[in-house]
Amino acid sequence: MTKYGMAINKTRCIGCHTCAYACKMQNGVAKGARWNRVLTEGCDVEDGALGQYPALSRSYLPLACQHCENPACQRVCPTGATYKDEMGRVEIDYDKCIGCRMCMAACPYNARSFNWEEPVHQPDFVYGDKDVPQRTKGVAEKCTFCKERTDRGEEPRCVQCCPLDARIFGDLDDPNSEVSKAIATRHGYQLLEEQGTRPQVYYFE
Amino acid sequence: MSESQKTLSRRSFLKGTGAAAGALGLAGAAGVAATGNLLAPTNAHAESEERVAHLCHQFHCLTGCNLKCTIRDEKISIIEPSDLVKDKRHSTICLRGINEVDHIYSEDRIKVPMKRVGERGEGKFEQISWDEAIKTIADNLKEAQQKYGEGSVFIRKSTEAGIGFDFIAQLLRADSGGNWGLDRGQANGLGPAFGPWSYLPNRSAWEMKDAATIIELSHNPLESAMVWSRPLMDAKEAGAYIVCIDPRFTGTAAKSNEWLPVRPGTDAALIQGMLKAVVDNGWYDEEFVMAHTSCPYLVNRTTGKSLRSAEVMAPNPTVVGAEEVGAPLVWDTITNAPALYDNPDVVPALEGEWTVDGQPVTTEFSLIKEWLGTITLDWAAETSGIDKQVIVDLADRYANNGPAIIDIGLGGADKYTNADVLGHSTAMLVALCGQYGKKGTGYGTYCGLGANDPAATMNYWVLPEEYHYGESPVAMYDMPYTPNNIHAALTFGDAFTLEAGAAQDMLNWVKTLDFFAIIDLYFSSAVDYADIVLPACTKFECEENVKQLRDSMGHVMLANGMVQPLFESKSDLQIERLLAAQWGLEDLLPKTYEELARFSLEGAAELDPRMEGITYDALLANGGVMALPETGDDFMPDGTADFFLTPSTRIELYFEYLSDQGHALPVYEDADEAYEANPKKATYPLYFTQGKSRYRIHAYYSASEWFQEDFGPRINIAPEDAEARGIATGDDVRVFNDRGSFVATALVNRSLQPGVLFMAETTYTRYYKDGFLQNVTNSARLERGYSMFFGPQIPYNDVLVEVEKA
Amino acid sequence: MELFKRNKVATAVLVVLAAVGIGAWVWQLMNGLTVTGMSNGVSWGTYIIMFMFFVGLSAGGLIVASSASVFHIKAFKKVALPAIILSTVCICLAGMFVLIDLGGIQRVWRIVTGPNPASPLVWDMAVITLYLIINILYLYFMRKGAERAVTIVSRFALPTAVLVHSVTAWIFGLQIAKEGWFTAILAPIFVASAMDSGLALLLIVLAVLNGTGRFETPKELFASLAGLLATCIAIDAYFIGCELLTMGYPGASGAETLAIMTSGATAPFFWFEVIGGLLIPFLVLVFAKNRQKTGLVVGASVLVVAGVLCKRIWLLLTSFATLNIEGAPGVMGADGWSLLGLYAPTLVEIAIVVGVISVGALGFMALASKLLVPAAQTETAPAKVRAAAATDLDFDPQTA
Repeated sequence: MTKYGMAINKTRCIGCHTCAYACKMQNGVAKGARWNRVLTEGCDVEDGALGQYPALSRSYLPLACQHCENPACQRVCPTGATYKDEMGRVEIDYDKCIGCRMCMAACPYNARSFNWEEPVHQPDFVYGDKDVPQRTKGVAEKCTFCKERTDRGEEPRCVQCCPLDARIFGDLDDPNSEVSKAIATRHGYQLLEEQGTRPQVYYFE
Repeated sequence: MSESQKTLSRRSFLKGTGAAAGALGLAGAAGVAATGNLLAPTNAHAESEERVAHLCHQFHCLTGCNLKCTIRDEKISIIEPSDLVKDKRHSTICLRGINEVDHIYSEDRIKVPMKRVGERGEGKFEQISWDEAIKTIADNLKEAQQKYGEGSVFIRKSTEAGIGFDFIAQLLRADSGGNWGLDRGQANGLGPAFGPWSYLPNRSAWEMKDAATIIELSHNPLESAMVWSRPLMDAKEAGAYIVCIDPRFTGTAAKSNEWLPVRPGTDAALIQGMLKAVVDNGWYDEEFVMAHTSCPYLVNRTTGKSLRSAEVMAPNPTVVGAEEVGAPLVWDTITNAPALYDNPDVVPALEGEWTVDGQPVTTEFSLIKEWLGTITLDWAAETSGIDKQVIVDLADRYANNGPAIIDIGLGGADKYTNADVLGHSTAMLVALCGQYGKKGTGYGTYCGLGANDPAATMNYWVLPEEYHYGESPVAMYDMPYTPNNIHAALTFGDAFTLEAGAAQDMLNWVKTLDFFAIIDLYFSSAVDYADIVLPACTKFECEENVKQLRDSMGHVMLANGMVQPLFESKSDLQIERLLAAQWGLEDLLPKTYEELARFSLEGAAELDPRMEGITYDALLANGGVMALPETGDDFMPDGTADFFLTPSTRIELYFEYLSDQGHALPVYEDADEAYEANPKKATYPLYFTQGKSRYRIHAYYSASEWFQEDFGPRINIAPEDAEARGIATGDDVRVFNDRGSFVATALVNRSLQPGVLFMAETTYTRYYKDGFLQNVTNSARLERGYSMFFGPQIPYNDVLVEVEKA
Repeated sequence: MELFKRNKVATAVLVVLAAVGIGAWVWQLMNGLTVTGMSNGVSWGTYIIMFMFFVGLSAGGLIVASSASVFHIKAFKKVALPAIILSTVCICLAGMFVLIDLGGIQRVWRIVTGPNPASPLVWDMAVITLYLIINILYLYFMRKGAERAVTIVSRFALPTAVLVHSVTAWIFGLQIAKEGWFTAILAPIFVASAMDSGLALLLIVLAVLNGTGRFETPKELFASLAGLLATCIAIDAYFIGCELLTMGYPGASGAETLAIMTSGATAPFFWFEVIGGLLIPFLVLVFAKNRQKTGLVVGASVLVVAGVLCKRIWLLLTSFATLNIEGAPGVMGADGWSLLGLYAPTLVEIAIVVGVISVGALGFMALASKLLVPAAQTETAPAKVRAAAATDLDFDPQTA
C-alpha cells in the first residue's frame, strides 16, 4: 500500500509563503481562499514575535490539510464526498458535496475553505493545472496533496517550489522513503496529536 | 522535432488560428460562468492548448531565477522553477515569481497611452494614440534641447528596464542622472580597502556551511532574496553559529543563534568595539595582516599622507579617483630604512616610529592602534545599545573560533549618512582577523551576485561614437536642491520617488519641469506627475517569440515563448525604436529582440571559449537555457586574499584620500538624524526605518492582487510605543516629521526594538490612504560622499518621525 | 381556515414576512451563502442555531402528549392535540433550517443515495424524518380518535423524541475539534433544553389559545405543566452546571473556552441564559402560588425560550471564537484574514429566519384551524377528568 505523507522541516522554513502562493496558483484557488497558509506561530501579527524584547523568538507554521489517517472531516461527511483514497490522501468529490460544512466544523486545523459564492478569480481566467477540477459555489475545498500532480508521479507544487527544500513528500508506508526516514530520525511530530486524527503531515525541527 | 521547435510551431499555429484559440478560451470561461446555474455539475477545464515558455525573472532581487511558464489559451497559467537549469541549487522560485500569474494581469497595469488632463499629481488622464504619445514626447524633448541644450533632457531607466540596452538616452546625449545613491554606503567604505566591487564576496556562498561563525550584518536574506537564504540555512543545519546585527527582529534574526538589536545607524560603533577588543587582546592574525594588508605601510604623521616610492608605481590606480600612485613603502627591520612593500627580502615592521627626511613616520597599524586607544568599549556599548561583554564575546568568537563570514546587506545600514564608516570599520575587522580568502571565511553581501554568478561573455550593441550619454553634473537625487539645466524628463519606471528621499521636494521639482513622460508597467507613484504615460509590457510579453538575453547563475538565458503584449502595451525595444524614429535614428537600433540576441551571441565563443556552442539557435533548441562550463553542483569559486583591486593589490586600510577630511581611519560619527542625542528626538522621538519584504522588490509587486490580500502599506510599531500613543493593530496612523507625512495601517509588533518603526519599502501612492513613506525620508547628503566611489548615498533610514492615530 | 379569517391582519403580516423570507432564500440560492455572515472561520451561524433551537422546541409538545399515554398522565391528554401540532410545526421548521443552510441543496439527494453511516448528520436527518412521521401519525390517529393507535405511537414517540435531541447534540458533541462541544453530557443537555424550551413554548401557545378562546386549558393542568417546566429547568441547569465545572476545573483548554463564554464574545448570551433563562424562571415557577398566575407562567416561559435560544447561540459560536492552531494571519475569508471568529447575521439571514418562523406560524394556524375543536364545543368535557388530572399530578416539585 501507498500512504502519501509529508514532513516539513521547521528549521528550514523561513516563512516565505512561497508554498502558499504555489498552492493558490496550482489549484486555481480563488480570491478569499487559501488551501495552504503560513502562520507566525502564536502571534497576532504576521512576522510577530513571542517573548519579551530582546529575548524574542519566532517560528513559522505552514498549515494545510493534514491528510489525517483518522480524518474527522471524512467521518462526519454525510454523503461520502470527503473520502480517504487508495493513496492515503483525503480527497473531496465535489459532485457529492452538499455544502453542509460538517467537515469544516470537524477539522481541528481549519484546513478547509468553503465556496461561499461563485469563486472569483484574480486574474479572471482559470489559472493553474488544467487537470484540477474547478469548484462551484456551495462546496468545500482544501489541499489535495496535489492529487493531479502526485497521480502523474510529480511532487506536490508546494514541495517543488519551496526555496529551502523544507518539505519532503513521499510514502509513509515505505520505511526507506525520504519522508519516513526524516520523520524517524528527526523526531517528526504531528499537530494536535491529542485529537487523535493521526495526521500524515509531520513537522520536525 | 526538438521541444523548442514544437513550442515555435505550436505558437505559430495559435497565432494563425487566433480566432479559434480565442473562441476556445471563451468556451472555457463560459463553462465556468455557467456554473452559476443551480444544477450545473462541477466541471473541469475544457480541453485547452498549452505551451511552455522560459525566461529569466528578476535581477533586482539578485537571484535571477529561470522560470518555466505554462501558457494556456495564451494566458500564463502556471509559473514554476525551471526544469532547464540542471543545477538544483539554481532551479528556484519564490512567491514573487509565482505571483506573476496575477501580477502580469493586474487591474493596475497601465493599459493604454495617456496624456495628462488635470494638474500634475492629480492623476487625471485621457487615452491617446501611440502616434500622438510618441510625437508629443519627441516634440517636447526636441524643444527642450533646442531651447536649453542637449543636457536639458534627463532620461533614466530603472534597474530592470536598464538591463540589456539603453539606447534613447545615448541617442539624445541626455543627462542620465549621475550617482544613483542607492545602497552602496558600506561599499563606499570597504571599496578603497578591498577593491571597488568587493562588496560582493569572492568565495562561494555555498561555503557558509564551512564557517564556524556567520555574522549577518544588517542583512536579511530570508526576506529579501529568499532563494539565497538556502546556503545560510544549510550552514545553520551544519552547526554554524549565526549572529544577526539588526535593529529589527528580522526573519534572519529569528533563525540566528544570537540577535544583537543595535540602535539604528550605530552598527559602526559595535564593529569598532569589536575592533578595539581584537587589537587590545592581540586577537588579530599577524601573519595575515603582514602578508595581505597595508598595516605595515608607512604614513607621514605630519601630512597624513602615505610614504610612496617616487620611481616604482603601484600595480593599480587608486580605487577612488583612478590615479596612478607610487608603490607604498614599509620599514625594513633589516636595513632599518624604508623599502618597497613587496620586496621579498624585506622584513617589514608592523609598528614603530621613525624619521624619514626629517618627517615623523609611523605605520598604518600604529595609527590604527592609536585611534582605537581613543575609543572605549563603554562608548561602543552606550552608542550601539549592545552590552560591552556581548561585543567582546562576539569579537572573540569572530577572531578566535575558526573560519568566520561577515555577510552584509545592501540596504539597511547603507541608508544612513555614516555608512562608509561602517564599511571601513568592518573591512578593518575582517582584515585584522584574516577572515578572508580561505575556506569558510569571507566578507561581502552573500547573494546571487559575485563569485557564485560567473558572467557570460556577450557582445554589447554599440551605437556610433557620436551617440553617448551626456554629462551628469548633478545627481538626480540632488536636482531639487542644486541648480541644474534639466527641463524635460523621460523615465522608464519610477525614478523620481524611488531613487530619492523627501518625495515632496522631488515632486515639487518635477512639477517645475517643462515636460515629463513616463514609461511604466503599473501606476507607480511618479505616474500621476507625468504629462505622457506609455504602457510598457512585462518581461513575459513581447511582440515576438523571444525577448531578453541575460546571464544568470552561470547560465545564458534567452526569454522565449512570450505572450503578446497585453492591452495596448509594447516592449521596451519597440518603444525605444518608436522614439528613435522621431529623430530618424531607428536604424541604429536592433529591429527585434531576436536581432539583438543573435548579435549578442555572434562570435562570443571567439572572445571566450566558455561560450563555445552557446549560439542563438542552440539556445532556442535548448528551451532558451544553456549552462556555462563552470556551473554545476560542485561549482565552488574559491577566491583568495592574494590580489585586490587596490593600488598595492593588498587590503588597504588607511584611506589616504580622506586624510584631509579626517577620515583616513574610520573615525566614528553620528548619522545625520538617527542618533540618540539628536535634539530633534524631543519632537520626533521614533526612528523610521524601511527595508525589504518578501512581498516586494522595492515598490514592485505592489499591484499584485494576490499580495494585496496579504500585505499593504503597514507600519510596524513596538507594543510600548503603540500603547503610549493609544495605537492598536489595524488602526490608521499618521507618520510625520518636518518633511511630510503619510497614513498607513499600524501593526503592533513585538519584533521591533522599542523606539523604532519599520515599514517595507515604498508602495505606490494609490494604495495609501494619504501620502506615502517617501514623504518623511531624508535628503541629507554626506559632504565627504562626493569624493567617494559611489558618491553620497540616499539616507532613507536616517529618519526621525512621530506617529499618531489618523 | 378559520384562524386566518379571524386574524386577517396577523395573517397578512405573516404572509408578507414569509414572502420576504422566501425571496431572501432565492437571493441566497442565486448568490451563495456569501450573503450570510458566515465565513471560513465561523462556518455555521444563525441557521444552525435556529435548527438546534427548533428541534428543541418541538420536543415539549411530543413529550407532553406521549407522556399522557406512556405514563398515564391523563390530564396531559387534554393538551395533546395542540402539543403535537406545535411539535410537528417546529420539527418542520428545524428541517427547513438545515436545508437552507446547505450550500449545495441541489445535491442533497446524495445523502439518500450514498449516505455515510458514520456521519451524525445522516442519522439526524433520518431521526428527524422518523420524528416527523410519528408526529403526523400521532395527529392522524388522534384526529381519528384511534386511542389504541395513539397509545402505540406514543410508545415510539417518546424514545424518538429523546433520540432526535441526542442525535442533534451529537452533530456537535462528537466533534473533537471543538472544545466547547466535545462532551458526553451534550446529549442530556440537549434533551433537557428541549424539554424546558418545548414545554415553555407549549405553555405560551396554550395561553394564547386560551386567550383567543380557541382552546381552553384547565387552570390546574396549566399549573402542573408549569411545575413540570420548573423541574426541567432544574435538570437543564444541573447538566449545564456539571459541564461548566468539568470545563473550568482543570484550568486547561476548557477554561479558555469557558472564559470566552463568561467574559468574552458570547458572554451576554451565556449570562442571559444562566440568569434570565434558568435562575429567574425557576425561582418564579418553584412556588406553587406563582404557577397559578398565568401571566407569571407565561413570562417565565418566555424567559425560558429566550434563554434556550441564547444557549444555542453561545454553544455554537463559542467554539468558533478561537482557532485551535493560533498564529497570524489566521483564517482567510471573503473579508480577508481573521484571527478570531467574527460573526453577525446579515439582513438576508434575519429575513430568512423571520420568513421561516412566519411560515411556521401560518402552518400552525392552518393545522389548528383544521384540527382543534373550538373551546365552546368542548364545554362538555367531564369535570371528573379534571379532578383525575389533579390527582395524577406527581410532577410537582413542591410535593415531590
